Amino acid sequence: MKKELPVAITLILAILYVLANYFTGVAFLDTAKNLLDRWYLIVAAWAVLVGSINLTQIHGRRISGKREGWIFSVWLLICLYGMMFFGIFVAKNASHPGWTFMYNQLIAPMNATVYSTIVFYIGSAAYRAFRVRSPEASVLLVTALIMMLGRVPLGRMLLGGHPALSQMADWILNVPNSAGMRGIQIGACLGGVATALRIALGIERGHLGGTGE
Amino acid sequence: MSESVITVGNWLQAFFTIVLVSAVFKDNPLYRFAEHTYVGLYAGYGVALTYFNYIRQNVTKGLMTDGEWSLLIPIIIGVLIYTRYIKSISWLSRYTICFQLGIGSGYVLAKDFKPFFVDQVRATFLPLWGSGDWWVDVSNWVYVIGTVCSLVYFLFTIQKKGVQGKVSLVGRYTMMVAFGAAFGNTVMARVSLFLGRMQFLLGDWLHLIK
Repeated sequence: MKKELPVAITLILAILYVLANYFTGVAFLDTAKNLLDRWYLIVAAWAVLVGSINLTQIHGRRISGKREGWIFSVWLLICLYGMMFFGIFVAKNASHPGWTFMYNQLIAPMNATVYSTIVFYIGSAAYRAFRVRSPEASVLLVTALIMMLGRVPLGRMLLGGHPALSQMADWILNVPNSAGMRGIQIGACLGGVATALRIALGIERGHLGGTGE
Repeated sequence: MSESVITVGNWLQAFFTIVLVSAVFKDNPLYRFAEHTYVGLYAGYGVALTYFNYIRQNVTKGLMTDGEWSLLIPIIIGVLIYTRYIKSISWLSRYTICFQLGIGSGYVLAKDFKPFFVDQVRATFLPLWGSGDWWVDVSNWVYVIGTVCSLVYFLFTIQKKGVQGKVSLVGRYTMMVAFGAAFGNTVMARVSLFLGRMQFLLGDWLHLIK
């Protein structure tokens, strides 16, 4: 009941889903697949608060222990629950002007800024990688340099107006990049299938832990 | 939206943009304030948006208005995840996880295999000569050799010695080119975002550029 039944449910659902995808046109399986697709999203949606509860637990401990920067944790929780309650009880839909204001004037610009500042960190990481002076790091950086220069007018300017860098960047993107990514993708797919089989058959049970039993 | 609201919005955007960028120079209390605001607002936004799009849709409309009582099953399974926080019944949360993993593993087995394996392998069978364009032939050779060698790199059950070691090395270089391309594209995307923020500061906020 505590472990065997959940594992059995995993197996039954996996088999049902696979059968429903391979034997299309069977009324029972088609209905089951449509239901499972819909139920999957509903179940996932209900789990969304887990992240907020975890955030609350982590920052709650920081506040109760009065650890360094605890005041920021108070502010984080105010923002978290303020936004949540404002959305659910005041705005009530995504087209509310207050809600769009919060998104367009605060969340989206902050998101763009946070992601844009990463460029400085990856720049310094690239510099450190280059200092390693390994052939692999050099290949990575030379490719990255060609990709970057091939996409901006500076690259063409450096070659007196010749589009060689841009053409090289296109070729790298379409040929060796695709080849490397394809190898990774095929490997990842095989790994994913193996993991899915292990989970479905109950060999992999790591997800059953974390409940203290 | 009125002019004053837009002005307030612009000042807020400008404040948070400058403060978040300031961390590049040195960590500071204003940055930490902005960082915590960002995490809090984004998490709250995510929860409310999920409520709008899924929970209210299914509970209010599906269950109460349309009378789809079958929706009670996923709702109950979904709610069971919160039993994790009550120690005596925390094992019940396994039903939610196993439900998701059952469908998830079924999805991988049924739907991922064709596009990510069969189609990829099929697309790698490229003509190696006779296309009429020597450059296309060379590119196809690079493509096929690169893909095969990258795959050999992931064979961890054999020792990478001799021919296998050399083939694996070619695979590693191919992947380095791929990572370099991904790195270059990521940097360009981030620079583009950064320029967007600078354009906002100098244009929409300070009106120094048009």
